[in-house]
Amino acid sequence: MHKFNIVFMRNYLLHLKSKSFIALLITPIISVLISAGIGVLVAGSTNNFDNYQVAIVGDSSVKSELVSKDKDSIDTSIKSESTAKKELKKDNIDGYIKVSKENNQYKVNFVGSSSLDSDVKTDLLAIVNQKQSEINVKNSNVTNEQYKQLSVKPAFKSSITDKEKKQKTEQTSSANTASIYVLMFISYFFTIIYASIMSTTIAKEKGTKISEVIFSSVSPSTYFSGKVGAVIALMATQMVIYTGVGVVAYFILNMDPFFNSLFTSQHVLISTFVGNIFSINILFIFIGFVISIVLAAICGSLSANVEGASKSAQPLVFLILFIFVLSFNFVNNGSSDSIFSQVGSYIPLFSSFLMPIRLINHNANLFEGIISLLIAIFFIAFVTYKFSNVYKLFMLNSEEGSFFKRIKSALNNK
Amino acid sequence: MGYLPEERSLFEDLTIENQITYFAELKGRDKNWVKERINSWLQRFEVKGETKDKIKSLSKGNQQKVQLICTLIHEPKLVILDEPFSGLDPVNADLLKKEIIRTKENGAAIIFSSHDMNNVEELCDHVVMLRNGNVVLNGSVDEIRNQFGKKHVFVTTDMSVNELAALDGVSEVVDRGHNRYKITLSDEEYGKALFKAVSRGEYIEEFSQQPPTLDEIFREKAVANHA
Repeated sequence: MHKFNIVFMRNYLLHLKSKSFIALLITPIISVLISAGIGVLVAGSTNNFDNYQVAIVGDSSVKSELVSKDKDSIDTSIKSESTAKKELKKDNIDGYIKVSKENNQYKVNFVGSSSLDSDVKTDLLAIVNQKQSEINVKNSNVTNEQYKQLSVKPAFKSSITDKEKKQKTEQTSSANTASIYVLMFISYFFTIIYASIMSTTIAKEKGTKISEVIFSSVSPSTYFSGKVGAVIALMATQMVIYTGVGVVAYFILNMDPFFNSLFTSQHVLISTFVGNIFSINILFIFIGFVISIVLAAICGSLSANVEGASKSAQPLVFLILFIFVLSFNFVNNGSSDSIFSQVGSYIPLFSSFLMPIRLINHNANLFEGIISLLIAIFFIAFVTYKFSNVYKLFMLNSEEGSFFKRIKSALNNK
Repeated sequence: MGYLPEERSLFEDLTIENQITYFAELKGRDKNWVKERINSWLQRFEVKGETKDKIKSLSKGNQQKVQLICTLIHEPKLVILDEPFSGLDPVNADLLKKEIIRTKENGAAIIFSSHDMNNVEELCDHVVMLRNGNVVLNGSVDEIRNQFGKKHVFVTTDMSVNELAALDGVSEVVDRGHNRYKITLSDEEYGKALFKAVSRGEYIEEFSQQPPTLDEIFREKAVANHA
C-alpha cells in the first residue's frame, strides 16, 4: 500500500501541476465566461432598448397616479411641455404624454420617437377612463344605486392550474432532454480526453528501460494500479472543481435580481436537471470514465513504442465514438427503449451512455440501473485484476508488429 | 536492489531531486532520508546542475550520472549494472569506478555486464562469460587467466625478431618498439629456457611471463563463437 501511495501521489501531482491539465481545467470555464459575457452584452443592449423613458405633463392627478404605477418609465423631472419637447429633440426621452381636460373630457396626446410602451399605455388609459367615468357619473346625475348598476362587470374566472401543470411537465421534459445531452457530451469529451491522457502516460514508458527500473522496485500490479488511480483521481478532481464552481456561481448569480427571478421561474427545470445529473447517472458517468481509463492503459501498454504513444488510444477512441453516435441516434429517433438500447445498457462502457438515457426517460427503473452498475463495477475489477498480472509482459515486450501480434507476443513471454 | 540499465531510464519532466527521491522511495527509503544525501551524491559525481533542474535540461553525461545516483543512493545490498561505463569519458569512468569500489566495500554484491575487459579485470572478483546463453568461463579473474597458461612473455632485449622467433617454443613475436617484445609460447614450460637464452646469465631490464589478459581471452572465445 505504501508503494501504491508513492506511485499514486507522484503521478497525481505530476498531472495536477502540468500545464496541460491546468489548460484542460480552465478552458471550459473561460468558454462559459466568454459565452456569459456575450450574453450579458446582448442583454445589456436589450436593456438599453427596454430603458424606455417618457415624460408626462398636464393634469397633475393623472400624472401622479401614472408615476406611482410606472415610475421606471416616467421621467418625473420634466414638468412642462416645452421642456419635454426639448428633451425629445435631444433624444433624452422616447416621448411625452400631454393630459388635458376640456369641457369635462380628458384628452391625452402622445408625441414620441416610437409608439407608447404598451404597459404605460394600458395604465394611462385605465387611469384616464376611471377619472372620465367619475366625471360622467357626476354630470349625469345618477343615484348611487344606479351607478352601482351601471358599474356591474361581467364575471371572469381564470384557472391557471392546468397551465401550471402543463408548464411544469414541459419544463421537466426540457430538463430531461437537456440533461441527457449534457450527460452524453460530458461522457464523450471527458472519456476521450482522459483515455488519451492515460494511454499516452503509459505508452511513454513503453520501449524505454524505465519499466525495467520500476519493476525492480515495485510489483507491476501495484505500479499499474497507482498510475491508473492517479488519472482517475485527476478526473475526479476536475469534476469536483467544476461542481464547486457551479455551486458558487449559482449562489453568486442568485444574488442578482434578474437571475434570482430566472432561477425562481425555471425552478422545475433547474431542479429536474440537477436531479438528473447528480443521481445514479453520475455514477454511470464515473464508472464509464474508469472503464475507459483502464482500457486506455491497456492500449498504452500495447503501443509499439514510445513514438506511437499519441495514437495508442485510437482503438478505444473509435469505440467511444461509435457508442456516442449510437446513443445520439437512440435519443434523436426516440428509440431509447429499443431492444438494442436495452441490451447495450447492461454492457460495460455502453451502459455508461445508454442506461442514464433509459433512466431519465423512465424506460428503466432504479433496480435495473443498479444491476447495470454492478456489472460495470465487476467488469472493472476483473479487467484491472487480469491486466495488472500481465502488465509487466506488455510493457517489457518490444514486438513491433500489428496490434494483435503484439498481444500474442507479450502473452507468449509469460 | 539497485539496477542500472544500459539505456537511459529517467522521467525527463521530473527535477533531479524528484527523480532521485521517487526511485529511492520506491526502494523503501524515506523522502527526507534521501533529500539529506542528494547534494553530497551530486557533488561526488560532479553533476553539473541544480536539484531543481529538470532531467531533460541536463547533458547526456550528467543524466547518466543522475541515473547512477538513483541506482546507488538507497544503499542497496545487490547492484546490477548493465554496461555502466558506456557514454562516460575516462574522468567520469574513474568516478564511477570509485563509487563501485566504495559500494563493494560497504558490503554490497555487484553484478555488472561489460564488453570492456579492462574494467572487468580492474573491478571484478568473479567473472562469468556467456556465449549464446551458455557459460563458457566462470571463476575469479586470476583463475580464469591461469586456466590459459602463462604463455605470454614481455621482454626487453637487443635480440632481433628473427632471432627470438627461432628459439624453442616461440610461436609468435610482436615488436612493441624500442627493443620491447611480446612473445607467445606454445607451452609455458619453455619460459625458463627462453629466460636463459635472452639473458645469457646477465642483467636483463624486463622479463615477465604472464597468462593472457581477459581481453585476449574474450577475443579468443568470441572468435571461437564466430568460427
